[in-house]
Amino acid sequence: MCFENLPIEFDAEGKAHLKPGVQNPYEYQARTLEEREATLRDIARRNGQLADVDFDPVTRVAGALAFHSTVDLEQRRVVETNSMATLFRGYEVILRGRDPRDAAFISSRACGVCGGVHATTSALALEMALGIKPPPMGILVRNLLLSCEYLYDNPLHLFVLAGPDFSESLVKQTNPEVWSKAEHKLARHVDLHGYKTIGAIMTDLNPLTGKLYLEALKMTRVAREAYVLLGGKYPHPETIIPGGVTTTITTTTFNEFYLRIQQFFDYAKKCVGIWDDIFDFFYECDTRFFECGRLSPTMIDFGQWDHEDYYDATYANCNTWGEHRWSTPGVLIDGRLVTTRLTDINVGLEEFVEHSYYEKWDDYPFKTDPLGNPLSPNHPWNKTTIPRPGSQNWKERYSWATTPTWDRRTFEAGAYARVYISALAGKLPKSDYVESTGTSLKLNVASAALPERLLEWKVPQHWNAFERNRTRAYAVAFNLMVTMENLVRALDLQKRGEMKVATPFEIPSKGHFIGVGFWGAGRGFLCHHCEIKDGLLANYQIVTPSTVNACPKTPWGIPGAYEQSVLNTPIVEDNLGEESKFQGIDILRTIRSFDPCMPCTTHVLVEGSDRVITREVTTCACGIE
Amino acid sequence: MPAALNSALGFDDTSVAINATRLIGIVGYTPVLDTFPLGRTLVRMLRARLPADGLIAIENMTWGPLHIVQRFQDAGAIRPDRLVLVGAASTSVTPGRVRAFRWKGGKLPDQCVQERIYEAVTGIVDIENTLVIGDHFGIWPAECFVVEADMPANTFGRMVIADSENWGDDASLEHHLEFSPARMREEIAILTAALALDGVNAEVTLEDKMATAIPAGGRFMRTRFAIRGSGTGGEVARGG
Repeated sequence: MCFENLPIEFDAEGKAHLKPGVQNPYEYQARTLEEREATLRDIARRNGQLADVDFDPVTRVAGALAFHSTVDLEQRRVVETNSMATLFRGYEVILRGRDPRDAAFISSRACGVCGGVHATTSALALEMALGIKPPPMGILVRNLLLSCEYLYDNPLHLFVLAGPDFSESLVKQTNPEVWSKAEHKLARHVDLHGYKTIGAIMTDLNPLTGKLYLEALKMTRVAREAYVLLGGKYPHPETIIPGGVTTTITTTTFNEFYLRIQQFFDYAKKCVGIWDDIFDFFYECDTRFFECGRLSPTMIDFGQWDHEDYYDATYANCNTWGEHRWSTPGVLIDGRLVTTRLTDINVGLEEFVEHSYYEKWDDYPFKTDPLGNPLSPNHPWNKTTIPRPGSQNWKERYSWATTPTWDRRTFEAGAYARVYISALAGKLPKSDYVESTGTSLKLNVASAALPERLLEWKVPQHWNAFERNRTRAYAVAFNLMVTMENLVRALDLQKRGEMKVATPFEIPSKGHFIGVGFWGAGRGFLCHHCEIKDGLLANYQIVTPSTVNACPKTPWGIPGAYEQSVLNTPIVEDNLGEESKFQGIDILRTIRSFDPCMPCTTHVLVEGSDRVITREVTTCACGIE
Repeated sequence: MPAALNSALGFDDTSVAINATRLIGIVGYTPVLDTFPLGRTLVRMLRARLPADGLIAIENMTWGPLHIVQRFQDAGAIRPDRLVLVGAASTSVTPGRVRAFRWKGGKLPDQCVQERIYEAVTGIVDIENTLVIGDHFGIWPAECFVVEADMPANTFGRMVIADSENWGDDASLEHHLEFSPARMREEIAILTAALALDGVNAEVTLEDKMATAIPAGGRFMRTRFAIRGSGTGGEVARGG
């Protein structure tokens, strides 16, 4: 029984159905936020001072996220938060009525950082809807492409986006006592990264000039080059199609690809060493850092990297092929893995718009999924995107992000979710490179200049901003060794002459089909739900990881991951109360630990909206759509 | 990008582009909508205005400033001695207007460059962060020009909707957008081709564009700090 809030139970065969006798199974009571407002007034009355702190935009997340906090100065606690996506994306509207073959190309523009994953997720959705099974080499090449995106994305976040929050230049300003200790503190993993002291690491995390910062920029290039070898271009590859890829593969292609990937062998070890040392040091300095961005570990991931022997693109078999992926799908509730079945994840999914700039919809076309499992009227297959721009009101509507829930809970998504869930599930296929023990994930990272090294990620005692980033560092090694596994498998296929990379298909001009792409972005959880009617897209819905994490409150008042994690964050920064010096670093470390990417969540400027960021829309393939 | 695909879009393959002595880079190119002022039709119009001697290449420079920097830093790459960057103005003041600038560069504080890098790696790509980041890494040639098209922020979105709702002809677009995308394309093509061919000697009204005059991007962190008075719930702004 994985559902506790939705009235869904399972029969002996594992098929879900609604509990009998529940009259309105998907009913919910919307709660106004008056109660919370009263609490704030009470605190203000008691201790006299509340500080409102707005971060607008929270840069290094592409400028489209605003975050409002109210801080209790006396207690150094955040007592109210609102996460706000300030721009409308609109891909769901753009795709409606289009040829399904457009979906991968258009939806890939949902993000300028990770456009390939949207193209792939779209291809998966169409494959399921139209019954297109890619050939093994097509599946493997797609896996390799995904790995490159992760190898691009995760180091970029660790060293260019989040890294500066732990750099000498920033910590000297926000917590000078921490910097004083760092200068003399010996680093434990000098064998992995070469730095004798924590201070030396922090100096090289300095933005623009730090060696680790500049090295990460260089490594993003290596990952992109690897991607381009197989995918033609990046971002927004045009080689990913339903049924596989359109790339021509040769021995040279794979050799060139390997030459790039092997540059990550030592880098992956270094990432783990650096961040293990940094975070352990911060905990030693001040135990309040355990509370920074703390949440009970509740997260969802669809798993990625299909196994070519199992993936058949059908919804009927998705639990089997899902559980044979190279990262395991799953739902983690308060640290407990409650399911690894894709149908369960899909059935429990809903999207709410009570605090978003959208209208509710009336249609409820799919009471069940194709297997007869019940679906909510708020399920993405039943959702219609109806934008309703308006003014900002914390009690009512304040974001262009929707509120996705699973079993009526908000949850978090991230690179760390695939590590965490894969570690607990114990279902990874057998491999020389990666092993799930049920409590940890073992990664056998190959030798380069450094010797071969067995890294092991273990479930942390605390789940917080630092552990999100630490786990992301291990995700680099996880991605890398899954890449090696898939490269070896691709070379084996090549030896056997199985070089076909795509399955041809036609779009039927008549008929009604639905499909879903279960996949992941560098930042985790990503799904595209599509409905095809008489040859055209009748509906298309995208749920991105940043929508999951940045969502506004549920209609019944439960905050999303950003909002709740900031509420749990103590203000350790020394400068609280000094307006000119206050950086809000604890809050920002928390938000950035999710690797927020608001282009995922939002995009097109809508006339009449009172939130305007013009630059966002005069940009590239990313910003212009 | 594979040569065949590049060619189909009208661009030059990188191997051609890095050997050209003059380069036109389009920042904000999209293959989704041909008639978008920075779309495929513009590339075809530029191609028609340029000699076919391979000395002037056209490249899509929408891949992000750091990608562009790294492409210029390629070992052995021959850098062009003249560059024309084409794209949308960062702020819309007079929709439909097309202006040409000579990039004069200039030193910005490190913090400003960092902010532009943060933007760039999280997906924001525009003429100005391309210019600032490229300048920081020293990749631009002495002769660097910018052709900026003033388009309201929602132009692309409205043109996509127009396309799917069958009001995508230029007269209807002009009616709705209050400027003609076709005329804008034509002006971009004329100015860009002239600058690529003749540089400072082109018969083009040319303004200077300096790094220090570019409005700051999103700051590293912008906070508004306000204290609520006891019991009142009111706000007294203390910070900007």
